[in-house]
Amino acid sequence: MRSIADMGGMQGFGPVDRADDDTRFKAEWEAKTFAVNLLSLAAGCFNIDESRYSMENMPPADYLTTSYFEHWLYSLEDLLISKGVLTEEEYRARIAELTEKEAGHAA
Amino acid sequence: MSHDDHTMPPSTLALRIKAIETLMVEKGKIDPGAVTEIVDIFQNKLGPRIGAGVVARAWSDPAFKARLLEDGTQALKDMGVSGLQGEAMIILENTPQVHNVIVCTLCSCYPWTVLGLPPTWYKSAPYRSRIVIEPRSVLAEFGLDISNDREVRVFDSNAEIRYMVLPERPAGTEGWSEDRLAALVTRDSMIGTGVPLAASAI
Amino acid sequence: MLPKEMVAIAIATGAPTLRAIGTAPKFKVGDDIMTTNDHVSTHTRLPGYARDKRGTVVGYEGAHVFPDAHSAGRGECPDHLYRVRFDSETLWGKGSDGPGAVYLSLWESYLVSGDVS
Repeated sequence: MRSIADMGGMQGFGPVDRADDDTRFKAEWEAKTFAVNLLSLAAGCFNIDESRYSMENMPPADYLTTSYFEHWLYSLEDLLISKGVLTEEEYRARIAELTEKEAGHAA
Repeated sequence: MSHDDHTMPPSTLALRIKAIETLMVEKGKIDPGAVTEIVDIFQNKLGPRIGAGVVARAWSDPAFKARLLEDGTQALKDMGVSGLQGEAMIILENTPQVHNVIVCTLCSCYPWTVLGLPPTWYKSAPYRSRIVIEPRSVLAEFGLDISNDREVRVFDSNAEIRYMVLPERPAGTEGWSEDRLAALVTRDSMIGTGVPLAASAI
Repeated sequence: MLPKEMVAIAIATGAPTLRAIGTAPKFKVGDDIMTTNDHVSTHTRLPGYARDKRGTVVGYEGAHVFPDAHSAGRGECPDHLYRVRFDSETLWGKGSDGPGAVYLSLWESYLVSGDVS
């Protein structure tokens, strides 16, 4: 598909931000997203081509305004749920649970 | 999953991945120790010093350089360099006639085995979009001025073939040890957006 | 499930996509090709900027897992993979910013002969 990800030759993106030179994970969530993605691939939950295809299907505005690892997180959610490894219900429930726990600690 | 309502605030990124991780661990799909191990390897063990060592050896050993250019995958394997996102490697030699540079316009594929994880700019829309159509303009932003009597070759990593640039050896380094040579090799010189440090730099 | 003890070796092994297939490659180094103009709405690794363009085969990479099929649940369907050179002028015309070329790895089904018969 000629998706938003297919950006070779597109114009108007402006100068390369060379100062954005980090190669390390900027936050723990990035590292975990990276590792969980690799391990899900290793576990055969999905393949790398499905993973790339999933990212290409991000809403274009989201694709352009989120970071590389957010794309990985999107495709992880998309594939694990669409393939029935996780259900949307248990995923949302777990997020709600963790949100409450975090709010409880903050209080 | 419905992504119609996909406007989650940034603070939930950590919660989303934690939710996935904990569920996957509970379902026996991933080993939590493996998560830590992977992060350690990519933060601390893989990185451009590996590629720099390859370049230094190629500069020092003409027979190795010939093997490296002929069959990058095997020559690297012989050095103990192999694996994920480096299963099929091609080494691109810079010459007085040719300057090479790598990209993945479609996503951000990068030669992890020799360079580790890519810098953020490599994965950015400005780099991915512009390097194929106006490479000289992008390279000029990196401080590289490529004259018109040289050809700029852009390798788009759209399949599982991975590339690394073998930059030209700096002048005045005759007789240097491989370790000393490796110290001149910058990460950007192996992507093609830079050149090695001058001999006088170290 | 990949256990912690196996992680280092799994990363050092990677996931090669090279496969053996029973058909001979259609193209050889030096051949002129055209990329197809068959736009698809599903996953492909032929970038839009290189569709319907003339290039030259400069290398043969063996047969590799075919992403277009593999991403759509059709299995690996390995196909011959070629390194193809596209002159900047072919891709961008007068918009090219100097002598150059773009190289892509293209599966055989993305290509037709560039010979004018």
